[in-house]
Amino acid sequence: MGDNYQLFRRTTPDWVRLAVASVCALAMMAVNGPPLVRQSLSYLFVTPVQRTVYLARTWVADKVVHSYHIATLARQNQDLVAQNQAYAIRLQALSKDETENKALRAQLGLKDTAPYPIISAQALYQVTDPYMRKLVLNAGSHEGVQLGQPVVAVDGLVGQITDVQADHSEVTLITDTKVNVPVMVQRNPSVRGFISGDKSEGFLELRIFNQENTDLLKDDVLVTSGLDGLYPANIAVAKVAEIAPASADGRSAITIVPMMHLMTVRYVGILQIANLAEMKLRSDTQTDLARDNPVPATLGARTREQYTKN
Amino acid sequence: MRFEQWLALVRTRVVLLSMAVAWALSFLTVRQTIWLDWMALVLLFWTVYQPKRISLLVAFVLGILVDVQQSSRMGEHALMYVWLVYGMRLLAPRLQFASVFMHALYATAMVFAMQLLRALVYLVFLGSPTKLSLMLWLLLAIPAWLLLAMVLTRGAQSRKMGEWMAN
Repeated sequence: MGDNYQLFRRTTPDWVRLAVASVCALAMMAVNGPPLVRQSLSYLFVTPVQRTVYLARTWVADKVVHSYHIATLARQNQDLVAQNQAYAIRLQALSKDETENKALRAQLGLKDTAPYPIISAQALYQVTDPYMRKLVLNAGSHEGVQLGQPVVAVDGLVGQITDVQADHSEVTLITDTKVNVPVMVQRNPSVRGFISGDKSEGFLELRIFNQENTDLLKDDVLVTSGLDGLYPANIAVAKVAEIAPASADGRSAITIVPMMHLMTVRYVGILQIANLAEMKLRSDTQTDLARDNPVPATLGARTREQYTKN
Repeated sequence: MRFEQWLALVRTRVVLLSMAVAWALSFLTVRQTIWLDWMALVLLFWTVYQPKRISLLVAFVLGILVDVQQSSRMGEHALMYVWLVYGMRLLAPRLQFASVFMHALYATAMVFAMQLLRALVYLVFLGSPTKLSLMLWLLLAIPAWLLLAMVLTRGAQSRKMGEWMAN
């Protein structure tokens, strides 16, 4: 019997506890958790395990498995050397183009576009939640990763950094429905639109700005337009896989797929956009302005305001 | 003694150990797409056999931990676990004289129903469908439950480990 023997025990009923817990959980879901809680719990419970497993895996790979791979590596190395030479030749031609381009830009009085430094990172694992399209990378704020930086791979754009921890970060892929990327058609830059993730797995959705100008062909490559200031211009994002013939109402279904299988990407680069903080500040102030003052501050409005003041 | 009588004797450290193992196991995935909710399984397991040890608070906290681990929406798993444990508390007295297999079956059915509910909520409110075929892997929870019950019972019965595992 012991401590069980309490005839008229007064405690909170179970259903009240359930209600309180549910309300707490729903509140946390509404704000997606206090970030501090998430970070500290992740630091205490998740990171140590990840680091240990990662170290163990690297150790095993270094000590045991690598002898299996020596032959493969030798072959790969040969291929890479050959490829490297091809690239070197191509690079010579390109560097000539670059100097020419610079000179022409100087003649026209255009600004030079600065290249961005790249942090290289490796995908540790993909988030297994079936409702997420995210990868976890092994570079974090120690390496200089910041929220919002775009992530690219060899074949094209991968996504955007949406969460940064000390030594790892999370990239949300462009196949996620919440990510929007402004794009243009590489062949015809006047056709512009937005790419976002499609409801069906592994596909993308394209919304074109100007409905009159929809010059799209099969195998067209869509590249970033660089107009939002976040993604640099001319990174390949997706390609047109199929255009179904137009139906009776003149519409045709277009199938857009990413340049690569995004969930299985291994090596990526994180672009260090220089003025990210400044851009965020600017966009925040603009948002605040728009919210506080829904009427756009035009020249006429400002003049009228001055007149009414005086 | 029957399985559940042995399981009711198991010490706190074994319960904690099982939770730690569930925590470690839930890092694992098969081919990066299939994931079994070990933590829910262990919570339900102890709700059936040692209801005094599992409070709703424990379920909530472990749910938050799993949320952090899986980087799902904060509080999502906490909500599911709290409801699962509550449901199992209502159900467990009625299953007292059922076999361990029936316990496993009921628990798996509850987890399955919860996942279906979650998929439905995602479909209705966020419009993101999921592959229901992936949920079939939840059936693995039945053998996992049986295995856990078997291992713990054998451990408690054994001369070497019995003292350490059970009262």
